[in-house]
Amino acid sequence: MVYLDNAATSHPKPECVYRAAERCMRYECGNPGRGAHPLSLAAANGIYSCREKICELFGASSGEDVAFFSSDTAALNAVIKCALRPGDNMLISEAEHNSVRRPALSLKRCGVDVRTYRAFCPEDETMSDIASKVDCRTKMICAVHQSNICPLTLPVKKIGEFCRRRGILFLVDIAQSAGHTEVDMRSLCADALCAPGHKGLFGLQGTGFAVLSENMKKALLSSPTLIEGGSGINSRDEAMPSVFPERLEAGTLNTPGIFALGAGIDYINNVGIDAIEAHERELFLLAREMLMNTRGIKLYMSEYKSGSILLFNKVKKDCEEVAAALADEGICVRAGLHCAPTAHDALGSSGAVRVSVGAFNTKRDIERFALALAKI
Amino acid sequence: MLICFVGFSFVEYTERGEYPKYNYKGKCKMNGCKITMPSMTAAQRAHNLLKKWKIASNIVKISAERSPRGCAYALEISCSQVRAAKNLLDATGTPSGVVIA
Repeated sequence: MVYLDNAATSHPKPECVYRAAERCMRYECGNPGRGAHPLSLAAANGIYSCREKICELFGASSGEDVAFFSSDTAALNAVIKCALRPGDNMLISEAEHNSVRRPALSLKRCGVDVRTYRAFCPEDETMSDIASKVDCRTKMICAVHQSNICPLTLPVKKIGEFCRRRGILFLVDIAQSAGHTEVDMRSLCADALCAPGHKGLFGLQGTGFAVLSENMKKALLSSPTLIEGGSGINSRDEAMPSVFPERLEAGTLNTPGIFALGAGIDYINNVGIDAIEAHERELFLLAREMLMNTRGIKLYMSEYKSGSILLFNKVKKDCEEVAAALADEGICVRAGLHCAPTAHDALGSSGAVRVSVGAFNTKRDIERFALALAKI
Repeated sequence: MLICFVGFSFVEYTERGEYPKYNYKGKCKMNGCKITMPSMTAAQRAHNLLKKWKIASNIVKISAERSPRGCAYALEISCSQVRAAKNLLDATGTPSGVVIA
């Protein structure tokens, strides 16, 4: 089997990730923050250690800036829905995944003005479009760092600096860039980074997190919480605590998943994120060249020379048929709209095949993919 | 099948001798001074900071009597070091509460 669906979830995981999850479940899986006995403290200790690793990887200030969720989607929902109120407006890009688009549109029905800015264009045009759409009510701008369907990277640093000058909160969805390229919260002027644990960071499914700035925490404190429940502290209070990250973490955390995520980050630090990025770029370029040289293939954004995701269609073939035929050959890719319909619209696609390489792919995988595609 | 699994699990559990890693045997004996903490996460942060400064601490729960709002955590620290610990936490901007005997 050749796995080329790393944008959906990374596979396989580093061996240390499997070991960390198993070890946690066997020996350290008390309920974190729900007691002070050895197993509860062991769980809390491992979780705090993972918070610090995330903090260091993304340039946050302290472990308390990192809140865990069940997914990137849950993290994005919490930040978007708690920071905005009726009367505010927010900008989202046309490249957003439904994890941003749907909560934003849900707020639109509650009186939040949601505006979409262009992303599939030169950076200057993106910035001009943003500038033309903000006003005094703009509270937040969201940007996906790297598209989940193609090699598009948004000018997040420029958008962050723009937001900082205007006092606008800046939320960056790093679902496809975390673990693939360096992301530094401070240099991006970001107020929140949201990511899944199970993609480029090699953790388990069922984990996600938000890294929050002080400004974002203030905004979140001024609004009701999205989910309420046990927090392990101040149990008599009717509301969730005002301290972070506990305010956002109602219910028991995914302790084995978070331990595994910590091991995944250790792996990235050991290998080096630059090495991972270079390896993926090499495979990306090989796959790009192969697709460009194959007859009857329409490759989207073929001018891009870096990234880890390629999008294509085969002329006169339905994308789902192509993915199914590749699956029959043992090649795992994903077809369809990839939960990003507006991004597909912007590319003029009504569905396509996505190939996403990861740290564990090899040149041989790309060659096998090319051979299988040629048979279709 | 189930019996095999349980048996294997039990052997792993006892032979490795790794349970629990965060060993209660490693806890320092303290004489009861505490600094209240706003949360478990804050307690972990403070505990790690103090450790770097060679001040031993244990994360403990505060008695129900002293935590009228419900569950709460504290760092248990030797009374001879508790003032220094509190000063260090304040100086580094590490969230903490009050010192209790």
